[in-house]
Amino acid sequence: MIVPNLGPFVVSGLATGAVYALSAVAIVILFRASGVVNLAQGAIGALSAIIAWQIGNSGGPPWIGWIAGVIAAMAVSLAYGRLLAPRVAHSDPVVRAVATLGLALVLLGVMDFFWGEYGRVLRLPTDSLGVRILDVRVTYTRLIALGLTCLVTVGTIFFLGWTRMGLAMRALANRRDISAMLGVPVLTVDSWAWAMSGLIAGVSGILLANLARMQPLFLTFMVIPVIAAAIAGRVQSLGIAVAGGLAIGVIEAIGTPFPSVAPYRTLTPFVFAIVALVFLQRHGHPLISGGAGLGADDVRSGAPAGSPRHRALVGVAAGVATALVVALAVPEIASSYWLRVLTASAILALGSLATAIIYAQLGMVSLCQFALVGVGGWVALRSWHAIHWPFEMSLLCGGVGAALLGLIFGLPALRMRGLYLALVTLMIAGGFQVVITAIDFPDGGAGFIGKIYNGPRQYMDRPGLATTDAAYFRYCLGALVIGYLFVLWHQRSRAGRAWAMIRRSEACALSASVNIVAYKIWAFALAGFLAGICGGLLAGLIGTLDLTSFPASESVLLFAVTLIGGAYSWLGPILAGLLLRAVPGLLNDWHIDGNIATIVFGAGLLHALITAPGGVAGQILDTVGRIKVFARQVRREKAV
Amino acid sequence: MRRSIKAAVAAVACTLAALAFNDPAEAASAPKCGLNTGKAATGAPISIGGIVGRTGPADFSSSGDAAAAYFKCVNENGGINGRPIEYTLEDDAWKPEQAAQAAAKLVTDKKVVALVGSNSFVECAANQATYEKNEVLVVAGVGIPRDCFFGRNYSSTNAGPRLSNLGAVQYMHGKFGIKSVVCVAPNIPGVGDFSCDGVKAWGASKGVAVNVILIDPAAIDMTSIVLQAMSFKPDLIEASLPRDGVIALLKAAEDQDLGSKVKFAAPTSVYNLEFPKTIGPYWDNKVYAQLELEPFDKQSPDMLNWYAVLDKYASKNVQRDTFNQAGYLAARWIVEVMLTMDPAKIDRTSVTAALRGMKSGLQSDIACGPWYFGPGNRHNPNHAGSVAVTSGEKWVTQQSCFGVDDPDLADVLATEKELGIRK
Repeated sequence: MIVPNLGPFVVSGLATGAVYALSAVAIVILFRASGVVNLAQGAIGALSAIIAWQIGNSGGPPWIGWIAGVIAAMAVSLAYGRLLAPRVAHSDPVVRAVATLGLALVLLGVMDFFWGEYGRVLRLPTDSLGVRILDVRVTYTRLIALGLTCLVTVGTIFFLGWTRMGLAMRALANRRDISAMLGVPVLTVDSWAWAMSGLIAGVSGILLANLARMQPLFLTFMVIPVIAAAIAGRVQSLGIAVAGGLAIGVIEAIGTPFPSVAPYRTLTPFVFAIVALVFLQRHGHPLISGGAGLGADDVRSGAPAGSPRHRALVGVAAGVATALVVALAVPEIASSYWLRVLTASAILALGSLATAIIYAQLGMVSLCQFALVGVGGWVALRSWHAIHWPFEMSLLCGGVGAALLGLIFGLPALRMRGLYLALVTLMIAGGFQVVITAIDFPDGGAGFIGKIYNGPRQYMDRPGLATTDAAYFRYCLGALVIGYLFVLWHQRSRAGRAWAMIRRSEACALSASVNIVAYKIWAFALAGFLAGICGGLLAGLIGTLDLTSFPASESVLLFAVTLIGGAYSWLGPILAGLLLRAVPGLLNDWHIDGNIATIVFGAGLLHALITAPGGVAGQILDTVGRIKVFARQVRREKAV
Repeated sequence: MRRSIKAAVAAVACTLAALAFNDPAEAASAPKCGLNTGKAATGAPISIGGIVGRTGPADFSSSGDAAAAYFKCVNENGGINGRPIEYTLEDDAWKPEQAAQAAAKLVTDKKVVALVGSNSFVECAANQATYEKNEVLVVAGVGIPRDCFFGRNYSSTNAGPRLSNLGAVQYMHGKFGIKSVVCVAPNIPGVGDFSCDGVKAWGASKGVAVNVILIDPAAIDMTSIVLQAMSFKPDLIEASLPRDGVIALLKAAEDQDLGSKVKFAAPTSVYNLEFPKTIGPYWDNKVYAQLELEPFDKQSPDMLNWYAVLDKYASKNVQRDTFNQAGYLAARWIVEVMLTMDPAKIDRTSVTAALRGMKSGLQSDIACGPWYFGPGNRHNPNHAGSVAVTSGEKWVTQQSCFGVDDPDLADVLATEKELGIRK
């Protein structure tokens, strides 16, 4: 094999890496100062870029556009940091990160509503000047990006290490309550951190729009590979974040001339981050910060009165009866459109259940559950096209396949938890997106990948007993009920007790000779299995799946919506399923602009995370409980 | 506020259009649609649907918007022999699940007689089975992935990215004698490979070296991709990407100052009014595009009517591009078919039968050849186009209407011969 001349790719990669690095620096600064991994950073940068473009393109002086863009980015970041972030400041770091996804969705919706996803070019005067290095023309814009990255990094290191404000920021990030008690002006310091990160996000947004492409959606979700660079330094070290960003840029570029790896080269950030974290973990850096106590039991409702077994039986009977009524009634009254929407909701409820298990039972966060849904769908489709056996067999295959991968994806959980586990699993979800884009879902072709390249696509048949939409709705509802029973059975068995102990304290569990490794793995495998079934059912809905449906952001969204629904309650996953499919379905049915729907969804996400830590299900069940207590009081008063 | 910004954008676009083409719309008189009676139709409505990707990674709605405008015009001009068309346009947001929901709504709940003007990356694959089961046909505006050209119930008025790419390469071969091509396409099965394979097969028969680079649509570093393309020492880089991807690729190529070292061509996706200005003066006379339909500056009756219909019945910010023309044609031709039918008997079964039974093609001066549905198991009636080049913030037509020689079209051509549509 002839090794191509890699020099130009290294130069090109360094220039791209500089932009990764600059964005990663902004992520690290904010995390160090306020403990938030800002998933909205890409969206804030995109806003800055699009405002700069708009002003430049309407005939205004370009420099006014750049300043206006950066000021807008700072303003949005500051407003969020001042008004909304403090309200979730006491939540878990993962919840704080997920809340910023709400902001990202709102911004994305606003940008798409006003500007749309059209190809645009954001020109900078420095584009026309350049130097030739190893046969590559490096524009001054790229040199500026590289220089700015170094400058910001060194400046920030000095700022955090040598100034009072920097000291206050570090104190705040470490122990928010204690810092406040010691007289650190929490809100002022927070505001500074958010404004600074907004400033950098604004500048890097303009640079990214110039160097990569000027599109809101693209820039918004660029944040996920950018986070990879930040993770390499545990979201702590600025130097490593910069080095990581540059390394990712170079490795990604070097893969270009090799056709066999080229389709997978965008995997680089994700693989890099996972390897870096595992390496750090092996070398004694603690990665448990902010994780202990997650999924605290106090969020759950207190132990119910009366015989638990009796109550559980009554609950199961009531659940099954309700499901029966729904299964019989809905197809009779719902239109074909709504039947489809509700079928998807039921399927997604299963996916949410899979996410809730890990969160509620183990107190851990996995942000790759939707990727596992994709894995389940892939395996189900592949096995069906290969063997043409009954649907149920494919469904089981999908479940088992996703369980196996879920188990592997869960391996990091043996050694880490909290935010780092969430970020590692997010990287896995990002990696899945790249792989599925390269291989797509099978549609009846030959070979392992099973793609047809010339001819009509083949579809997976629905189960023999559920070929119509109405029957398939009932089928999926049945699967959901079985999924619930399966989880309930686990909760009430030895596994459930072991999980509860692990959640409380791994040390306690260990001393009570609970096999922590086995039970953790079992939980991840179970969650994977349910996600896989969810994927198989989704594949059966249309008979095929599409690669665009499984971006990493969907996994974050699935977790967010599971939280909103209420991960600790039986009602939660059902609400989550409805939120994910029925609410957009309703907005769509009313012909409300899809971008407005995104804004509504993002705002709803923020609102729910701020106002309802126990989720909507918690609120509903609390209300029901209060009514019961009230009714009892009234009865007692009457008796008196 | 939205309206004012969009109005501003539209104003800019209109000024541009005026600058670019001396505003042919101005020359056009009142739009002519259907029976052209000037009287509003009041009979029982005929339900027609359409599915486009409006929100999502890119706005692919202009085809459906054009169909909506034409139907509005028809309804004000006598409808289908007195019956107005009730057109429901759904957004699939580039999500197959949502596309399937939209199909359920249109096909089952709204009981549409046909789908017209659709334009989507995902709906062909998601809904093919639904359409076949319900015996409803799609007269699409724009088909993109392979599924759209291999479906029994789907026939679009555009040619598809595969033919558009090949048309561009064929032209460049004829004009500049290029010997080596790099085809850059998104790494999406059924789109990227489908788009470049036609060029590859044709290149093999003509002794032209064709290298294919499939890129991750989310790839950030277009510079590396441009460098890799240049490592094959090509005469031509064929950018088989959506418009935004081509723009990003050209920006990277401009940064590398490749404008004079290699030629660039692209499929019809780049052909809209803003594109030459967006990519900037550096690319003057350097970027060629194959147009799946006729160029905007053609002063022919139907072309002027397209402008007139849009000006009167569509919002100003609807894009004027090839896809928009394709939607207009889809609407115009389904109306033409339905006008020949007994208005009392227009339903799904009769419309499907009429389309499947077409013995001759329908013509327009916007398209290079006849369009038909016919009985075939796959449809690709449009396989010709023109070529234009960017020049001074506008497109200048280079060659009008020539056929594309895709070896894989043999079955389609055979069907046409059998039906007597073409000799």
